[in-house]
Amino acid sequence: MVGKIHILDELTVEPGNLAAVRQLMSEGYVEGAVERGMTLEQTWLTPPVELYDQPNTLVYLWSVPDAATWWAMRGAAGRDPSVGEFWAEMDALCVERQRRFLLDDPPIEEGR
Amino acid sequence: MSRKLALVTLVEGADPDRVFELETAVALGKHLPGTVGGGHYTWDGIDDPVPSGFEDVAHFDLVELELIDGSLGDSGFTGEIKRTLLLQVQTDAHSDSVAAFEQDLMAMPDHIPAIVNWALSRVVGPAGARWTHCWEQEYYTLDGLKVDYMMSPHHWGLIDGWFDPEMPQQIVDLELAHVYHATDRSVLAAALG
Repeated sequence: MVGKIHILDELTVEPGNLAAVRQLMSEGYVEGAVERGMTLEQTWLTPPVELYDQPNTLVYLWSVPDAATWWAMRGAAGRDPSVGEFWAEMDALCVERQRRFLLDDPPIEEGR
Repeated sequence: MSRKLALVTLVEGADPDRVFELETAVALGKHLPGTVGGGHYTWDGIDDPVPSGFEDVAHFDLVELELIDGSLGDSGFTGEIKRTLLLQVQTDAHSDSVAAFEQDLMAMPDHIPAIVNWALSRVVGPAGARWTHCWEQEYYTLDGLKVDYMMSPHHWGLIDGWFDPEMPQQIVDLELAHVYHATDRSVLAAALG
């Protein structure tokens, strides 16, 4: 069994859209994510100043305590059409977006 | 060479005696609790498109499968779990993404030794079938599916991105048939043998 799972959202934002992305994330996602079991651990901006002629990247680091909670979160998002709609709206403001899942101490696989 | 399977859903209020007749007439795998979106039974190896005489009892969601690849870790498998996932790749998915998705699925057994036998197939019929792929596995225990498979970081950390509406790379429709049943024989040994 694995322990805490981190979820890393990297949003590469079109110049001029930074405030809109932050507002959309704050008002349209965070509360629901918390209800689905996610904890917002940290946010970052890189480069660490808003650029006007090239994209910035906003980074959101979330966590869930274990894989069972991850699946509960995932199931709840899958049953709620507004979650997919939120990301479609967000993607319209971004150049690129990635979500990665991270483990601090992944189990060693037996493999074949 | 293709083969067929059907997901069987009993009609509401089906006569129990007729259901018993159906259960004894053909080899149905009764779905276990936790099954999602696939009705009450899996009928592997169905020969006829619509079993005659049971239209009043059940709906048959038939698919014709063409194997992409598969492997038998134990050709003499005698149980106990057969799992079937029927899914629909979105029609606008890029062919490169579909190929990468198929490769990722077929890499799962390398990371999850609890998968004993497996097959990935394309749904090639009947015309108008709502599914595009069938991903089947056989396990020695229910925990092999519910714990080893479902809780593997390879599953939730990589594979599920193809299914997840929060992920940019999602290409699989949210509507799935995730079904599993107890069995004392290997369906896949016959299919892959």
